[in-house]
This record gives sequence, structure tokens and C-alpha cells, in this order.
Amino acid sequence: MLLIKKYYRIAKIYVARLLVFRLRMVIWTLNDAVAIFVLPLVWLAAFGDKTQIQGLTKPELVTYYIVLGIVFILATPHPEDHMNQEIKDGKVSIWLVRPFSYFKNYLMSDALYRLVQAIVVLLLVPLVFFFYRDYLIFTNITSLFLAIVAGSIGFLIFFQLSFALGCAAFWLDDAYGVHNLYWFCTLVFGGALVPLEFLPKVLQSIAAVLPFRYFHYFPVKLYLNQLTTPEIIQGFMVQLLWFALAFVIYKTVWALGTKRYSAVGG
Amino acid sequence: MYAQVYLQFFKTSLSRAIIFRRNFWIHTFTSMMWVVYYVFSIEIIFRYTDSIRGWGKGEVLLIVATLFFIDGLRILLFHDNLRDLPSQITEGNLDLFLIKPLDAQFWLSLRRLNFTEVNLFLIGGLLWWYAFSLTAIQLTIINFFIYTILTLCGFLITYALWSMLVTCAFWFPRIDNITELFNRILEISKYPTSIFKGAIRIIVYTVIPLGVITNFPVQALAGSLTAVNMFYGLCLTAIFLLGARAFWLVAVKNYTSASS
Repeated sequence: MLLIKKYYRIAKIYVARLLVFRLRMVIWTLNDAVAIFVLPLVWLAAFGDKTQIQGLTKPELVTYYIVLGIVFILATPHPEDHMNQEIKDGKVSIWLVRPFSYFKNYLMSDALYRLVQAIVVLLLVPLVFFFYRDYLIFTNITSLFLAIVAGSIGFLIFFQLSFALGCAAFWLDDAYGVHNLYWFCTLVFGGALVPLEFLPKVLQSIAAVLPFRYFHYFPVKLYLNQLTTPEIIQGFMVQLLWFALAFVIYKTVWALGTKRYSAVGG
Repeated sequence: MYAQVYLQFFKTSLSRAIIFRRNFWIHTFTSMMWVVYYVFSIEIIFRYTDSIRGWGKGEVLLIVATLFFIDGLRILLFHDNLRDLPSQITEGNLDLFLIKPLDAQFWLSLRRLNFTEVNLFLIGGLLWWYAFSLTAIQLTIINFFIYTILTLCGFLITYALWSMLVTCAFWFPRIDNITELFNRILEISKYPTSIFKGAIRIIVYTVIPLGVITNFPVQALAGSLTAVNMFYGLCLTAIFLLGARAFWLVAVKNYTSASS
């Protein structure tokens, strides 16, 4: 009971802080939402007289990008930039002695951010519906439910890896390049640029062994009901495997990093 | 006097860039990665089609190359300055610039040059050459001249639009991420604007004139831009620049400082 109270208090503080900067959040959301209003149009134009591209019809491709856009906004954690700054400024020190871990702090604030952001997304949904009214596909509740579960697990894997990435600041003066590389991989190998089956064969086989496809692509495929039952089971198994691996990675990197760390500036 | 001051801006920015050399190379590497991403995102579409509403691969890549030139120039001259303007306003630093015996907009737009993306000119040039060889365009001096002028117009419109967006920070504090959104919107102009229909199509030729910024120059190069459109592009540039100036003056007039 006491534990719930503690988390509730902390959550309240985070949400209050978020709401102070609500316009900022709206801008970030729009920033990610731009893709929803562009990429489907580019592909619709590319279709020309064709009815299918790589086995996908117009509505399937449009819905792919819309759902992917929404999953992208709601399940893309971003602790790394802030962490980078805090570690460099020596502000992480205080967290080493607090009875609440640095990891939990970011996990909670990021997850709450996504929840509040969901409200902004809900406001955008009618606009998207109207804009693409001729191309939307609604599958079924089970698919939607599976997509939400997969998206949530994906978020947790992604978060642990991003946290590990944020720890790069313990070693690097300028983690800008590494962050961008990671981001690049997220877009290309995670299906945000194009559905993975559109990629050249070489890149497809790279994407197959990387975790990125399980953040956004897998939930979208689940929603679209384009996977067979064995594929779904396999997908979730691999997700759990990545979850465990990401856990080990972040724990290790954090332990090594804090060991190395000597608070800059006090 | 302004030329002298600007020369000084240039010198100090350059020596800064030379001090942080490693930073320079990291940024160069990173921006090349995004260049690959841009080009790849076009290549992949043309694996599955021959044209996007009448635009072939060569023409679309010419648009991308043109965007690289505009991006290279705007990042070099304006990026760091305009990006930081909202936080300058929020934190009350603006007062310091307003009392200087120089035009504040001049100072705040041009003080720091960012050399990290100059590679875009080289890469843009290479891409331009490659893209051009894919097209059947007959290059004439006059078309190339108009292309250059319209690309410059595109660059000026970009500055004006961006400047107006960040100036909004006078009324809406804490929008220091607005430049990110602007970058994202400008990125749309790597596609032919003919993908848009209806209201959005009107918007991309008026309020957010992405079509004028990158599509017009390439159309001029191909000789398919009408004289009316060319004239429209020039007028729009003038309107945007005057608008940005007027908006700034109004904003400064209403400014009541943040902290002190």
C-alpha cells in the first residue's frame, strides 16, 4: 500500500511537470505525426495504375503507415538525450544515493509522457480518419489487443536499450553520432521508412536479426492481421528474448558506467 | 559597418569550428548518414514505380539535391541562431541584443555560423550531377540561371518562414523545439508536391510554400515552369521576407522581457 502511494505521488509530480510544457509536447507529437500525412501520399502516387506493390494493396499500405505512425508516437522512448546531458553535467550523482533508481525515474516519466501524449493522438485521430477515409482498414478486436500488448513489450525493450544508449555518455564526450546511428537504424530497420518487405534483400536479413522490428513493425503487422499463428507465437517469443537481453545489456552498461563515473563539477 | 561585423561573426565562428574538430567530423559523418537516408528513401520508391505523378527518379533526385543546397546554406548561416532564439526570449537574454547599436534581427539571425553541414554542398553537387544524368533534360544557360535564382528564392523563403515560426516564441514561451518541427516540415519538400491534392495542395503553394522552395527550381531547369509561376515565385519571396521583417518588428514592439 505504501509502495503504491509512493509511485502515485511521484507520478503526480511528473504529470504536473509535463503539463507545464504541454505546447512542447504537442510540437513533438506533430513532429512525428508529419510522416502520417506524407508517406502514404507518396506511395499512393507511386501506385499509379497498379493495384498492388509487394503484395500490399493501397488501403493496406496506407493503414500500415497510419498505425505505424501512432505506435511510433506512443512507443518510442527518449531517455538518451536527457541522460547524456545529466551525465556530462554530473547531475546523475544525486540519483546514485536516492532511494529511487535513475532507471525507474526515466521509465516512469517516459511512460507517463506517452500516456499524456495519447490524448494529443486521440485529438489527431478524427483528422486522420477524415483525411484517409477511403483507405482505412479495421481488422478485429483480437488483433488490436495483440498489437497493444506487443507495442507495450516493444516499448519496454526499446526503453532498456535507449537507457543503455544514454549511458554512452559515461564514455563519450559527444554521443551525438551514436544517437543518430541508433535513430537511423530505428527508422530503417524498424519499418518506419517502408514496410520491411520493401527493403532490398540484404537489408531485410540485417533487419531480421536486429531488435528494431519488434518496436513498431511487429505491432503494426499484428493489427493488420497479416501474420500466421506460428509467426505470432514466434514473434512474441523473440520479443521476450530481446526483453531479457536488453535487461542484461542495460544493467551491465549502467554498472560499468557508474563504476567509471567521477562526478564532473561536484 | 554591417559587412565588417559580419566578417567578424564569420571569423569567430570559423575559429570555433576549428577548435572543436572532432565534433565537426562527428557531425559530418552524421549528416552524411542522413543524406544516405534521404536518397535511399527515394530510391526505394522507384524500385516499385517509374514515376510519381509524372516525376521520374532523376527529377525527384534533382529536387533532393536542390533541398541539400538550400539546407546546406540555411544551416551554415542561420541554424544555430534561429534554433536558439526561443530560449533567448524565454530566458530574458534578448534584452542584451535589443540595446546594442545594431539591428537585433541581423544580430540574432547571423551571429553564429555552423560549418558542420558544409559537406551538403559537395554531396548535393555529386547527387545533382548523378540525378541530372538520369533525366533527359536539355541544359541551357538560361534555364540554369533561372534554376539558380529560384533556388536562392527557395532559400530566402525558408529563412523567412523559419524566422516567423521562432518569432512566435514571443507569445508562446517554451517552444524551443519548434525548429525540429520546421526541419521535419521542410523535409517534405524532397518529394514532388504533386502528391498532394485539395486544401493541402493550396497550402504548399501559399502558406508553407514547399512547392515553390524545391519544385519550382527543378521545373525551371527542365523548362516546364511557366513564366507566370516564375513571377509568382519571385513575388512570394519578396512577400515572405517583408512579412518576416514586419512580424519581427511587431513582436519586438510587444516584448516586455522575461526575467528582470
